[in-house]
Amino acid sequence: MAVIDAGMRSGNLSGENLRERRVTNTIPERGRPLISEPLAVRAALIAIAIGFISLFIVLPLVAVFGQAIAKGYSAYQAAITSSDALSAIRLTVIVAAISVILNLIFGLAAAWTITKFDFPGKTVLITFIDLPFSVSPVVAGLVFVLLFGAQGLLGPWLSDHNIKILFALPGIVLATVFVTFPFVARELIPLMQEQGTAEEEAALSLGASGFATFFRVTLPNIKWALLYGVLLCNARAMGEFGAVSVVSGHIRGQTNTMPLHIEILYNEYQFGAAFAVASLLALLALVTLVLKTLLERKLERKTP
Amino acid sequence: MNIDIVNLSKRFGSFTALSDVSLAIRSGELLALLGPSGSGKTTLLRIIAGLDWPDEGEVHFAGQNALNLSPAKRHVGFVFQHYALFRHMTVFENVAFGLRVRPRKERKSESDIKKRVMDLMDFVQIAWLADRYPSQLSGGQRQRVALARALAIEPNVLLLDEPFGALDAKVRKSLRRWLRTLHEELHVTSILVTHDQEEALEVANRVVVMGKGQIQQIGTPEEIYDNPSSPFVFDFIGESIKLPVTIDLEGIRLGSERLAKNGYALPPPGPAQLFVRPHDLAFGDPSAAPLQGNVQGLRRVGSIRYADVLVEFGGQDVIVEASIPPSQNLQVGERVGLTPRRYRVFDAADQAALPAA
Repeated sequence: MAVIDAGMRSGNLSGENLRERRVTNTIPERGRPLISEPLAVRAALIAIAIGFISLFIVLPLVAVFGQAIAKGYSAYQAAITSSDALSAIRLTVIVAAISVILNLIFGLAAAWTITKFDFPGKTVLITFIDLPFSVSPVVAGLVFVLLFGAQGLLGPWLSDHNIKILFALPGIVLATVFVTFPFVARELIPLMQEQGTAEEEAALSLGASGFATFFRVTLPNIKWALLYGVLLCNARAMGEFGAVSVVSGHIRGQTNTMPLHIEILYNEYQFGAAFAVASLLALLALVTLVLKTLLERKLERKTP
Repeated sequence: MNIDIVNLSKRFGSFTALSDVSLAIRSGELLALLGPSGSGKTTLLRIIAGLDWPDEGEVHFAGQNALNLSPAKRHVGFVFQHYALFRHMTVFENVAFGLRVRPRKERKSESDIKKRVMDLMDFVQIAWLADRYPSQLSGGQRQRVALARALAIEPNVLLLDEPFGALDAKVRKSLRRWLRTLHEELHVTSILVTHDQEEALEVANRVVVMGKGQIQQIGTPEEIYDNPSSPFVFDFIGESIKLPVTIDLEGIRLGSERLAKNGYALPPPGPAQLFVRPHDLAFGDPSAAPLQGNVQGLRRVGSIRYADVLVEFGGQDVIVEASIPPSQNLQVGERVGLTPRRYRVFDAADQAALPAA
């Protein structure tokens, strides 16, 4: 036994040596990676990845669209053209449009300030920009209730002056702006940091005004990253549920956004209608995904 | 245009970039600001351009106070260290930028702009690159684009920040010569910042040596190289050998030997430092020379041969790197005598001013 064992071991050893020599002494074939797993391992890894994606991403998407048209096309059309659904879609688009514009301006200003100037408290500002990522949206919504609600800090003053924030458009916009506010700034800061201020200084010394420098030099250099940030910001603004749910008041036909409308339909066992509206949001996600991929390709290329 | 720098000071936190610097730049000259990194030369350039502001002091353009002018109003052509070309614009648009952003009243017509840009690109020999983007250019080509862009605004003064720093040695040499001829043609007042002494001494009419935020010496390249006025300049410019000496009432003592005095004033009696260039050491008969030693090794750096000579004096061994004249033949182990022909002696206390090399 011992002899056979030793022989096997030495056989194994020489086999390993041979393989090693082959690896180190030959130039690897073009296109074949140097480090490569056995075929079975690779196949298993790919199968796991595909299985996981199918189960958690593709199947739910198919289910949404399947359920949406399960009762036929006319039912689908009726669900998304009902007056409540249309008002929810309108509100969602309005809220997203306002939030994206506000956060575009804010994100640009914040990124510009952080990357082109040095000032004390810069890291604190960067941390604050990230805050909405780490706070639960429900908490964010509650903060606005505490501020603007009837028992809130500013509530009495607001009702005296007949200004409605909670359970109305301003409240929904505020909550959405809060939740989506890191997207543009986060996308711009690393890029602008990498680009530095040399081109802006060159533009200034060539006689450009601050305004011209921004529109002719800074903006073209960041346009794709800016679009990317806006795209993500928009997707999140349209899909936001938690924060908006707290401040909206769920008034049908008035303060329901699409996600809220879907929830109500679902709770009332109108599954067909719920999935029909949900399919619109899913469609938005798919469009966002395609645009995001295209933009990423643009961003990777250095020359415009 | 004459530029006067008056008592300029600038601090960044606890770091003093410039302390009480005054300098008169004459119209049409090509001046080099030469110094090690951290000597304040780039800060001075940026203050002239209006990209930085001094804590104290004044800058005058042709006698007028320039500090309250924005960079745009100073008409300064700035060539940045890494060129800072606009990456999303073609070479043509880069050069045209300064002409396009002018206020509407002063702006030229599109056809005039086109003609001017084409002329400039011809002048710096990049016309064939007009439609390329900066990322598609070599370092030397980017340098030319940056220069054409700066010249497009017909600047009162051209400021160049380490213009050849990012180029390889061959390209650097040819561009240096080219910059010199270009300056002779244009006669625009130019200030060049560099840490490369060869560059400064070859290109400039006048060299300002800066160190520790102050001007150490101003002079023609010849004056700077042949007559360094301080240990700092002697150490920074060219190769130098430092030897500890003692000054007494009779003159210079090098170990146990005496050294003949030269024309320069000597520091007060006490320990001092003698500076000599490697090529200013004459080889000779060991018995007749103030320094004797054994040749330890021979080296060749480019066209110059060096001998490492182990000199012992005052119980101390010092290795002296002397350059060997072409006619001399030396063997390793040979005993030689060395005589400093041209040298300067500075007070040992001045050593405090020397940067750690």
